[in-house]
Amino acid sequence: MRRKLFRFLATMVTKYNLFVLSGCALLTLILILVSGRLTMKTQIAEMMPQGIAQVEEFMEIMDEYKSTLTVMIAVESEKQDVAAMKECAEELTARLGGITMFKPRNQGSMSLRQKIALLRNVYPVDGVSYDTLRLVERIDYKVDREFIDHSGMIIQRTKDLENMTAMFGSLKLPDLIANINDNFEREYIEDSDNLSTLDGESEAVEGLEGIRRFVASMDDYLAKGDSAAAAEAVSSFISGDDYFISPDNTMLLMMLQPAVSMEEFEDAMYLGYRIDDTIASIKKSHPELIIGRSGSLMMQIDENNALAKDFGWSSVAVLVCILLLLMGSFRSWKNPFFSIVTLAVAVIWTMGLIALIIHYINMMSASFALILIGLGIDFGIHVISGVRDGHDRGLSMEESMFYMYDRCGPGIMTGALTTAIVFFALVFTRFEAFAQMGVAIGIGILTALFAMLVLLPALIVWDNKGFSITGRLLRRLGLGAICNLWSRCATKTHRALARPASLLARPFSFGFIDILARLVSRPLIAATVIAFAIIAAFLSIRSFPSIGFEYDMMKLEPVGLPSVICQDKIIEKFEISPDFAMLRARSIEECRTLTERFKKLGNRTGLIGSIDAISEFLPTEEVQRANIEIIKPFHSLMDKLTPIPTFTDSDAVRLKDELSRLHQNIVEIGELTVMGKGENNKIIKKCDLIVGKTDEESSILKLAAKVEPHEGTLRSLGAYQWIMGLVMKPRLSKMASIDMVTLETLPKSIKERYVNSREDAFLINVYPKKHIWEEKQLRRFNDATVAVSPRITGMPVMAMLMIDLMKEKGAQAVLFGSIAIIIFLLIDFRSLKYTLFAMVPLTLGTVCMVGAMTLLQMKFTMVNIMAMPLLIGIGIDYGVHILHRYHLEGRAAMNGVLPYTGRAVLLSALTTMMGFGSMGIASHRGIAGLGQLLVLGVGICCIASMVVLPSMLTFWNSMFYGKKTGSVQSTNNNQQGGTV
Amino acid sequence: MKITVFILFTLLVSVYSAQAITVNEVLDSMEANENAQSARMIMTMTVIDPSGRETVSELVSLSADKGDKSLMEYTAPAGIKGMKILSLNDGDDIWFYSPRTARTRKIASNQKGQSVNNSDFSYEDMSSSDRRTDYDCKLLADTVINGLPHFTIDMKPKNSETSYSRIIFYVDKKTYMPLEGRFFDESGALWKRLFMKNVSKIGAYWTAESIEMQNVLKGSRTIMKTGKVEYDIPLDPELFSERTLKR
Repeated sequence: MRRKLFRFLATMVTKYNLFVLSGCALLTLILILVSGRLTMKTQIAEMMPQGIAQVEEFMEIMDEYKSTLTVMIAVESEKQDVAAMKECAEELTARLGGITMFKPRNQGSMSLRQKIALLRNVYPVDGVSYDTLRLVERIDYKVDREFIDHSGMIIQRTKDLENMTAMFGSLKLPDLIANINDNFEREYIEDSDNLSTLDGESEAVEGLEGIRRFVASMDDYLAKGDSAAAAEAVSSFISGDDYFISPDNTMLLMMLQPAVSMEEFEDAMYLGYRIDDTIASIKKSHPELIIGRSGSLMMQIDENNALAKDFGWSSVAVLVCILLLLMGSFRSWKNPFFSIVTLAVAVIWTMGLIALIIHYINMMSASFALILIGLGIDFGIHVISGVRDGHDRGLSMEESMFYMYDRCGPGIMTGALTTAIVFFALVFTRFEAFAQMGVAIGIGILTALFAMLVLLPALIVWDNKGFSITGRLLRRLGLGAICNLWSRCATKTHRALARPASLLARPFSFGFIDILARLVSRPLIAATVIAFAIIAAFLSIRSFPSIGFEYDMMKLEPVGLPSVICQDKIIEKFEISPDFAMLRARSIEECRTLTERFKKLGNRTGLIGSIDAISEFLPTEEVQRANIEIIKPFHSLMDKLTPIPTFTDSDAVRLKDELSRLHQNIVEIGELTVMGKGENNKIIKKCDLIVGKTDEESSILKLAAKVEPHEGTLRSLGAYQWIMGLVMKPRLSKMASIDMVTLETLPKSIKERYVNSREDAFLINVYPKKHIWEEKQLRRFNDATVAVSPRITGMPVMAMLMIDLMKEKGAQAVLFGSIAIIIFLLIDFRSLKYTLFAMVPLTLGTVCMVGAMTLLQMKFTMVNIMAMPLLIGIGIDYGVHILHRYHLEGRAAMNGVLPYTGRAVLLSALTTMMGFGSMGIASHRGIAGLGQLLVLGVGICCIASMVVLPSMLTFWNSMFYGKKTGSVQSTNNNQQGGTV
Repeated sequence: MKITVFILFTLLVSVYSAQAITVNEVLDSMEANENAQSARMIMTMTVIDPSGRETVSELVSLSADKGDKSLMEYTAPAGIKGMKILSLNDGDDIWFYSPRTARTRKIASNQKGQSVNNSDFSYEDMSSSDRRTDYDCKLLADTVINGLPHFTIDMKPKNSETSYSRIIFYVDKKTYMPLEGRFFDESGALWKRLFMKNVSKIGAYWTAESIEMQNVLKGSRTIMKTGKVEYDIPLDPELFSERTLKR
């Protein structure tokens, strides 16, 4: 059957050469058009198996809130220039909020000219109408001032409100400081447990920042008399800062919500690049500030940039190197060139077929082209090698083609089918990411096989003979100029490349293979090789337990990735990770319950940095009613109070005492947090800003030293107290509103962050305290949050699911692939012995690769673990080719196997290693690790195929058959080959 | 026949004697070992966070009245040197002394569950309260650890004032030391694991040279190593008063 097929193919490419080439050209044209329909799905959720509740929740949240793509922008000032950071934040908001995209309408009905113009980024294109797409939904960077000014009291927890009303119960400066002291002692010193809770911590930080600004403004006022600064400081002391600023005042955080999801990949990427452009342009006007950005979208942009840098020129360089290697080895430039053309055609065909069959590719199957180039070129090498082999035996081109199909065809076909089967077997893992990739690469390998067995031989024949037919035809059509041009180009290229090719030919003639073939034909040497192989395998297996696994996924990213640097800074300054978990509550009550449970979890475990939910703005009716009872008398008190412009001697003495007490309280708050939370916590950072590490550094004590009963000082303090009263009274009176807050009365800016359009789901964001890309940390965070609600989703959950699936399904993929190979080889060879022999190089290669990892102190990672199934697909071919040829040449005929098929195997391995080698030097450490491991694995598989497998065959023959039988059979076979 | 009767009798006696010991007896023996009249220890506490970063602090710990009163003074690092924690009435009254402000502050008793110096031990873990007051204790079937049978004490809180929903101690039958402990949070998940290592007898008391508390949820662990240990030494009762903290 197979023999018939190859004879048919040989006849077609030799007798109907132009027909085959025209057919291929037509097919290419059709599939180019079809491949335009191919889309890409980049969402991690798209790669997950169906029916996982957390994945479905993720998709629904993505649809309703688009929160999964949040971009965090950090504006940093090492000099703590808060004003500059705020100014920059306003500029960024104005510019980023206006990012739009002009999207062509009805792309399907455009002409080819218009499509090409669009591809060339021409704007506007004649005759094309555009939609203006807003790409930014909103930017959260400061609180809704109007809402806080009106409802700031009623939305507080009753205990906090009691403290607040007690604190602001007087418009006298010494009274206010005394009240602050009482509050601090009651809340944080006598009950320092409050400093260890999530709420208590953030409130303490906010309160301390208010005091810092208040004290600074008083100090400033005594020195300069700046009323505006004093009024602003008092205002922010009452209701906190409007902006999200780190405890050490060095970073301002903004959160940008895109209006697009990863589903609209191109739009999202466009937005990412525009964000970078905008930041770069604003950086010019704020050279003193550092502006960074993070989040999954920006990480994707950074990875794309790194990959483009890694694979841009290096891919071209590798392709040129492969071409030079083939030119040198085959002493010709045309055939290697044709094989690369065929490969490009195979990639186009594959894209077209994927578009027809699967319709889209995902992040993993997108790698099909790279893998196809690595594998497809191998088929070409065997084809060219077979033709050259025939030519060396004195056969004509037509006869060489038949010879190639006869001798190399079965090996190429078996090799390709085993590889394809390994990839198709990934379907049985039922993991979309693997299944999709398996089908895409499987289709690609079969397509490459078809192209290399049909198009490449047809091109070789056409070059040799068919050209004259084409030439005659072209001349008849009056297109002889094309013919002449090709002829001239070909002659010149040939002249130019002939010398380099012959120079290259010397090192790449692989003369050592003949010696190797002779050596491994000797039973004693064969036995020694086998002994060494067994020892290597044994030592490798023994080293398996010592191989580590890299759990920190950030160590797989390129070094110095801007989004990772920014992410680390955000975590350090704010103790929240840009990658957070999400959950939808079905009612506001459920939202409150869940938020409280997450807070308790955070307090208990220290795993949660912050919880962001609508319940923070919407307390229960019961709480609000209790608050009203506190607010009413406070409001009456405010009505009675009047600002006091006078400041007496005794006021000064009292103020001095209270300032000293405030200093002591803040020192103790800091010490208590160090005792409870260690030296690196948000509260001690803030305390240090106010009271320093020593009393000499304390801004409060410095202020206290200035408070003396001198006339000028008393006048200034009186004026400050007057300003304070003027700001506090109306502000607090307004905040003391008793209007109940309901979902309906909440401002739109708050509602749209948490409530979906149907108002039946309330989003809760749970921010991890540390970055989640270290697997153990991620697993702890997930286990703890899932215990609160099994519906919780978001990037931490998706990453965890992906890791678990990759590990579980990766092992399944290796198992299924191995079973598929064994079954296929059993059918192909119809011999258990040959099947087991064929598995030897792969098994030895895999085992020794893992052993070599220990020697090279390499670890398995989430990325390089993919090398295992890939190696099964790639490594099996080498042994199959050797065995097929051995089967044809006859027992003990290594002299007839290695010099031809062995050379082709070596060339295949070298080209594959070159391809993976280019990955091995990538800045993306994950991809580099994969490339390095595959270079190692392919190299060992190649050595095992060319040294160990022939040795085993020799040894087997010497044991069971005796050497001479094979030699006779070999000669017979060679003669047969020659007569084809 | 005689042999059979003898074997049955032996089995019966051994089963009876194994069941004879009660949870109270085990707890009595445990507490007798734990509660020296007074003690002075020099300790090194190493907190290892989830990323493997270590923070080391040193302290001197004094206790009196069978652990009812205790005083800890930090001697290193510089950031906390001189800070003192006085615990009276079995941890119900806690006082904090700040060397920088030279003030003594009483802190709320509800902070018993709070971490001690950012470690995985809470004040509750370190207090020597009568377990039977706060917990319902049950003796479960023996557990074999490192080839040796251990008493298994299952403790469930009587009220919600404790931090844990359940504690299991594995008590060595020879030393009556709880060589392993498991602490569960309110949702029933394993929260912390305690290990006592290198146990030796100092004076009349079995003492662990190293006590390790692992926070399973957080991924951190704390190793407390005891240096010089003295038991039943004369200590001035005034040492354990709020007034003398400033000295």
